[in-house]
Amino acid sequence: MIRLRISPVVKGSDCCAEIVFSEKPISFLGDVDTANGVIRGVGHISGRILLMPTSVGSTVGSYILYALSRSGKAPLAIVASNIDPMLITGAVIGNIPLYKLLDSWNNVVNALKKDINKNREGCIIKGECLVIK
Amino acid sequence: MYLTKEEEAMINGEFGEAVELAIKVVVKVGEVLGATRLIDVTHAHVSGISYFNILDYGMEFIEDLRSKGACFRVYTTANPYAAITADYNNKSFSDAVINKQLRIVKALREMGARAFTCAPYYVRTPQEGEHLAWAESNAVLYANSVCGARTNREGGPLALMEALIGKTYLSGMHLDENRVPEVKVVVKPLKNQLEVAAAGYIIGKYFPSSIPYVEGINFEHEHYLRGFLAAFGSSSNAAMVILKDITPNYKKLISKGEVSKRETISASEVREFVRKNTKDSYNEALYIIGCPHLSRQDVYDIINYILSRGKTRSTNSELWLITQSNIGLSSDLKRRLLEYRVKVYEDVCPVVTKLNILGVSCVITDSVKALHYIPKLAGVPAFLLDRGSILRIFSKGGDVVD
Repeated sequence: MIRLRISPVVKGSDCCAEIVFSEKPISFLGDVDTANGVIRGVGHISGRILLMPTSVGSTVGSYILYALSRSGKAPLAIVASNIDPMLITGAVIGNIPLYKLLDSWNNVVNALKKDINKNREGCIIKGECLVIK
Repeated sequence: MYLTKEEEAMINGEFGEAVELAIKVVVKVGEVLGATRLIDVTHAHVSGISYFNILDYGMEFIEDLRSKGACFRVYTTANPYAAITADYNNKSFSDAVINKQLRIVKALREMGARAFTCAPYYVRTPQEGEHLAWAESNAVLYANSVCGARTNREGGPLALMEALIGKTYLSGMHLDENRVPEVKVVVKPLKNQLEVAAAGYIIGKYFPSSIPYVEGINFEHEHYLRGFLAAFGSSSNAAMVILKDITPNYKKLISKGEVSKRETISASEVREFVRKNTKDSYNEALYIIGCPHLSRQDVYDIINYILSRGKTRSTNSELWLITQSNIGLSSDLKRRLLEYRVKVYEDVCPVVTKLNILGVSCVITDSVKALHYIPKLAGVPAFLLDRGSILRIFSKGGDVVD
């Protein structure tokens, strides 16, 4: 079990879901299939907790988060190591809870990569804590 | 973050749903960037309105805002939209694409957008010290570096939110302490508009996140300066360049900054960049001048040059001049230009348009910014040629190369 410190940027309620982990930055414009809730190279994000380092690319990416919400395919929450204006804008207009990861991204990557194929279901966001099973 | 009574009312929904959403976004962004309060802006400029970029979800978001009664609370302009009015070798865009782009434009107009251009500084020139909320990098760089106004490089959707409340967060380029040079660049003498633009691109490559102090460039015409800033903005994230003899109070700004690195850009380095991006043969290309949008003066200079030299010999190519509609070009003049294979398109941007759909095989342009974005956004290869050489191809007595 890994316990990470997070701080809410766009508040959501406590939740329990599978973690989807992207080691690389995500370019929302171009990498996302909004109709199916899939990020290329990352997988299904719909109803899951998306753990990512940062976003890159066009600021129009905010509209993609809105689109995911509209099609009912948004992640349950996003936890990012670096919070940028595009991500905040997208999270607010898409009404997606967004958290800043306070622990070191490198430590998270190392911990998760040790057991990359492990099923990450039943992970919990509670207050300012993310628990990865 | 400290909020005034009016801002509290906005966030509590007393100004309607659209304003509530908008101020929530701006406050969140400000809080994360360490802003202590919001400030009023005099002019917002929204980007990200091409249907090819924002597709149905961007269109639906903008239309949804409008249906909630959204209205800009401050003077607002928007970027040009996709070039849906264009045709090439008798090909044009489908009605579906045209209609969706027009829906985006309609919603923005209803909210109060005054113009569609990437050169909003020609529609309303900001004064020194004015606070703005502008997206569109070339415009941001012009506002900060040439006008001495203050704006961060906002994202398109964020600038839309700021337009709806007439405010931005007090951070970044709005604060004196961030408007200072971090590196110094000396550029050796260059020979034309294209080389000056290329130097801007190279400087951005060297220093992608620092404000440079630049000296040594002779900006012979204003379009040299605009081409330079636009090119710099495509390779750098910085929102300002401090230019010797151009940026207001540049001496004072230099004295406050601490330059950590120095670089010299040689003419041979610039020419090598241009050479690598030049094509050997110019058959059947679409030539584009107007990234960023041509000024009224630029348009008339180009038209007078072409008309005064007489019609070109046979050519398979055409030239598009891109500008904004409020320069007041007559339809008579536009019709005359067609005989020279020159088309004028207004309020649009071919760079954010899927030109491959029109069957364009290759673009030749005098803009280094367009060179950078056309392969990614327009889906066709792009090459460079200086403005003078392009114009000679489309007039009599020039070097007809095809």
